[in-house]
Amino acid sequence: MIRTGSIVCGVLALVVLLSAGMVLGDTTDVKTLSTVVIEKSGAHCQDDPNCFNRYHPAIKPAARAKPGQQIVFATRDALDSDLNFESTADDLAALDLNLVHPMTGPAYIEGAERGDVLAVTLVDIEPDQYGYTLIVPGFGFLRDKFPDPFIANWRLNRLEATSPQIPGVAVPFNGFMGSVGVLPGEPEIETILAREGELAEAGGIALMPQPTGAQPADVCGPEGTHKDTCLRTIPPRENGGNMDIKQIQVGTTLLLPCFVDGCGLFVGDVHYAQGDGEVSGTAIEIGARVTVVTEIRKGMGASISMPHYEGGAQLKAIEPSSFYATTGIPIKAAGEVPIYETYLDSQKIASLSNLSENLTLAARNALLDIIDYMVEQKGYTAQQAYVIASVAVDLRIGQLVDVPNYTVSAILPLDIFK
Amino acid sequence: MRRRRFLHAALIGALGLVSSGHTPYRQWMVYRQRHLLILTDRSDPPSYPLGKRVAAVLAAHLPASKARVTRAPHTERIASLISSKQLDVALLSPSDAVALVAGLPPFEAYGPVALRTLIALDGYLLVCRDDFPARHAYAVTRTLDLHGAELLRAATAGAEPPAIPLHPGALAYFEGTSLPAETEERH
Repeated sequence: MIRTGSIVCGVLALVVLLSAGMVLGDTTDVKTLSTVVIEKSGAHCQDDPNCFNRYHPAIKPAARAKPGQQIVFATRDALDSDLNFESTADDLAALDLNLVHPMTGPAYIEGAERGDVLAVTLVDIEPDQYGYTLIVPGFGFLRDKFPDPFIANWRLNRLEATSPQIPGVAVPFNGFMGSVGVLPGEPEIETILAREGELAEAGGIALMPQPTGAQPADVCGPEGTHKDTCLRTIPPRENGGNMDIKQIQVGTTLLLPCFVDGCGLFVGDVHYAQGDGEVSGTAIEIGARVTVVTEIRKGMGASISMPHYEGGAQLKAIEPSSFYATTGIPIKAAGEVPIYETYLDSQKIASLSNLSENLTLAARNALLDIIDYMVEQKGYTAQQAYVIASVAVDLRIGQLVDVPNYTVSAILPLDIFK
Repeated sequence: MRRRRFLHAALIGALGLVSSGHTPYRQWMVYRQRHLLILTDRSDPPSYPLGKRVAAVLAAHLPASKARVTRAPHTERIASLISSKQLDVALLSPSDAVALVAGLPPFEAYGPVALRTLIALDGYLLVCRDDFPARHAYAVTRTLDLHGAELLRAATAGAEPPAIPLHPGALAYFEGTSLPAETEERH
């Protein structure tokens, strides 16, 4: 009797609640762990306490999160730019590359310590509606061939990207974190500055600390406490960073060696899509909301010296269903020194027309041929073809044994042409 | 005759416009050295078309300059690029130029920045860093002064003193005097 009465009361309560507009069947409000959201604020990184563009262990956490807790990073585009659909090539020379790359975070992962591995699983990327691909003069793999600025403005949704500057192409959404990593520790800072300094001294391209435009200003800026030891974000290193690996897709897990307590996880520079190589120097560059989940693998840091990543069938999803490919080997015109080798001052290279075991030159030749293919067969300008290659063409190693000629393929997915 | 020889030298010299500085990409510097870039301000709409005309006149009549216009998103970016030696030449309103020289708002994070006027143009000042080479300043000022009509509106240099002092190279042109010796070769 009591039981029947309870049921009646319950039903009545349900009817009352439903009639009041509440929907109890919905699962939206059923939560597991709360989500940590690291929002962005202000127009640029310098206006945003959750943003930084240099690496140093003294950078304070923007948030704390438990392992297993979803973390949402609201990220900015790689150049911390003001580019938009109306931007033209005239806007590019006024870019300030000291602002590269704005990162969101760092997130302090509770329980993580130096010597651990932080496993970061990419759960979701929500892209902005605008993205861009640039040819920045003097930058990119074929910088000697493409001296003039160019911009493609992309209209984006979760399916595909289209651009009035690249007509007839729709690039599918294959978003990933162009930059993701953890803060380096003091020993890593010392090692990295030493080796990159030696390279710069030798004439190589190594970017030493630059306080101008650095964030956070109180640590890395001109008056910052560590202005001479804050690392630039351009090169990927042991702590991850600007790896630009498109295979780290949603569903894959990135393994990062942890160098400071809490690890200092950061995300930025999201790419909507990119070819293996990112040859023009930019992919489809976007801001985005990135959701990840972390796991601490205690004491496993000694097992990896660089980031690793693992996954399931994610790579199949980003392969083309039809393609055209070119191949390259390390040959060149006698008398030329490839731009990548000039700092070595090798007198031997200039007179040769075939270099030995040179993967870079093989990739360059494969790429030049696929650009020619798009110009001749698809009717694009060389600049348009270079941009298409940057966002969609995969440079893949064929072999590294058939001396002196390594082979590289440039694989153009034909699915993108509409 | 001497002047002609100098101008010829100036044209050739313009090829090597050097903008040293703190840009992180060495290759990026090459582009900024190869072209005389006229900085304009997207948030100040008239400056961009004027800058395009300035660049077109220079490209046509001082071809070694390989002049091009570029458009910063806001005036603070101009201050950042000029103060950090990433670029040399900008079109600014006189009030912005004075504020930048004095390091006044909105430029307090960048200034004071030593600027000099190359020429006054239609309510704007074409300004440069004070270490802009005198022979380049002379050539740019002369070209814009002689071809002011092609800017659609007249150049106003010399009508009244500009808000920022003239660059010594520009002054040498307007006064017909010899160029001052360069104090330091820029790298």
